[in-house]
Amino acid sequence: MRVALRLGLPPVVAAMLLILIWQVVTWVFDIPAYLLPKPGAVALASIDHAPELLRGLGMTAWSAGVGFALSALVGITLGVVLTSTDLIERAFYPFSVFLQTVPLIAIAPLLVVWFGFGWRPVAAAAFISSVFPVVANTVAGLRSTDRQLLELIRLYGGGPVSTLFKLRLPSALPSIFTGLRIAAGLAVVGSIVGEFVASYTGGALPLGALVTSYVRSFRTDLVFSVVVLASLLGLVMFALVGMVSWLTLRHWYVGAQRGSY
Amino acid sequence: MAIPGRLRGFLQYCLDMSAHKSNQQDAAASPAAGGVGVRLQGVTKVFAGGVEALGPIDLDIPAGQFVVLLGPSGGGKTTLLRCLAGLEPVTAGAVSLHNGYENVSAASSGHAAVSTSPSAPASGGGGRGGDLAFVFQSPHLMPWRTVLRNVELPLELAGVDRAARRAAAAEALEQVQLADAMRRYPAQLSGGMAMRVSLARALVTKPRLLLMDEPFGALDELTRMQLDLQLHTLWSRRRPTVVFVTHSTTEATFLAQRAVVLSRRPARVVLDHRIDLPAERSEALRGEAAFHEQSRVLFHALAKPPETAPDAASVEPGVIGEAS
Repeated sequence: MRVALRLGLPPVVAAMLLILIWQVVTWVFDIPAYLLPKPGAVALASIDHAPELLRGLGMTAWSAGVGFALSALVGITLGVVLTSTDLIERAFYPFSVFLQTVPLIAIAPLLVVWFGFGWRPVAAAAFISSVFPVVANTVAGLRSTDRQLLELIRLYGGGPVSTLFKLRLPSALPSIFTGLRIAAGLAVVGSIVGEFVASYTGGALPLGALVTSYVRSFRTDLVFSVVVLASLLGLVMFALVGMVSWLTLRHWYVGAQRGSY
Repeated sequence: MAIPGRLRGFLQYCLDMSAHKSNQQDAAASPAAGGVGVRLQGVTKVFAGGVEALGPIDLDIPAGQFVVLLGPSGGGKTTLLRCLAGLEPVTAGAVSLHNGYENVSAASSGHAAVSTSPSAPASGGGGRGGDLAFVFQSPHLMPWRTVLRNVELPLELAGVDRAARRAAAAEALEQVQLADAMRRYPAQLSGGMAMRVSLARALVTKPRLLLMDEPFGALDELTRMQLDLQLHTLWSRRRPTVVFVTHSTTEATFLAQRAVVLSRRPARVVLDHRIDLPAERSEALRGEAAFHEQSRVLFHALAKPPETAPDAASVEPGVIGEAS
């Protein structure tokens, strides 16, 4: 309880201070609401538009989640395939860098052409923007397997399959989780960008499309709500991956289970 | 041969695995297997860069003997051990275990027929007949597995069923007095305990040849002395053949029946010494005059410059090329 207080209190106080300064600055300098709305106004507008905003959050969370899951699945598999032989690694690894350097905004319209309207092109955008760190970290993790343990498995007649599942993949886990943590945040960013382009018309709008519509109607206060919600979504996904990572790796490190012996 | 190394390694696995697995299971099943004899004939190892690690070495190790390899650091002790294990192919000569396994050089023409038969691969790709265990300089445990599951690993790879390998692993842990640490993770162990787990992992298949590469070198003096005693007790109970690398002459004297002192690179046998001490070893032995006498013999052999002093000792390691 006291630990939670000691860890949780400072950031909460800092956030409250920042909001206070924001409120004071907008009030003292009399900044017009379409440039920088007062935090109080943002809060009120958010409550007013809560159903719309939450529906948007749900839609964005879905496509970001699907994109992230694809990234994890494809990224780890690709990492395994790339490190399976030197030849494959030399031939294909440079191309996986493409995934990182490709300008998402530029190919997003193409994704709409390929996947139609709705969440599918958005999930594809989330996938493209988040898969590279998973591939790169999986490759790095698989490359740094303990040489002596590799020899040990060879000594006891273990083949490539048991080497992969009993040694190389598990020992790459810390590195893979690092990749997944980075991917979680990127998937949300990719989704929002995808939603800008994937021109939704009428009906329920995801966060990215809401931004476009709010900007058009000068609802800067609601744009702020969306920004806050999108950041929170990224944060929650990051925290979820962090939690799974902790649950998986907690036995690995010294002091992980203090007082148990 | 035009086949790339890794692919060849993979093919080698496929070849070995069928023949190998059944052997492994036999080893796990038979309780008191004793030791297996080892013979080295003209074993030479030259690394890719031209560094000569092992000069021609001839050594005959009878089954069940405890042999210590001593030598200057950076010499060929570890390389020799790795050649014995088949982890390193030999450049010339042959290593043969009396169970039929051979590590022969692909170049030596007389053995061409042997190296193609699946039961005797030319270079290390398994196929040691399941009789062999290797203990590294540091524990090398898997941090994601409990102590028990770490010790189970060799049996798991051999396809032994769960109940049988649990029982065998628990027994091996009991032998190194770690029965109460089974559920812990490696991160929760001290250095000495981790090394004992590593030892238990080696013992779990009941190997007939135990290769140990300075296993206790990184531990404090007291822990090391305790582990030496434990190891000796374990050996006298089951009598596997042990080849133990160390650079401590007192550890060598305490443990072994026979000490082989190697020269600098390329390593050759400088002294092959029978340690003249009673079979029963205890801590009290370390204080006795006979113990110190034996250990001094080893120390002198280790400290003595090689007989071919002018051309072997003074030349840079990389240039020794024409020494033989």
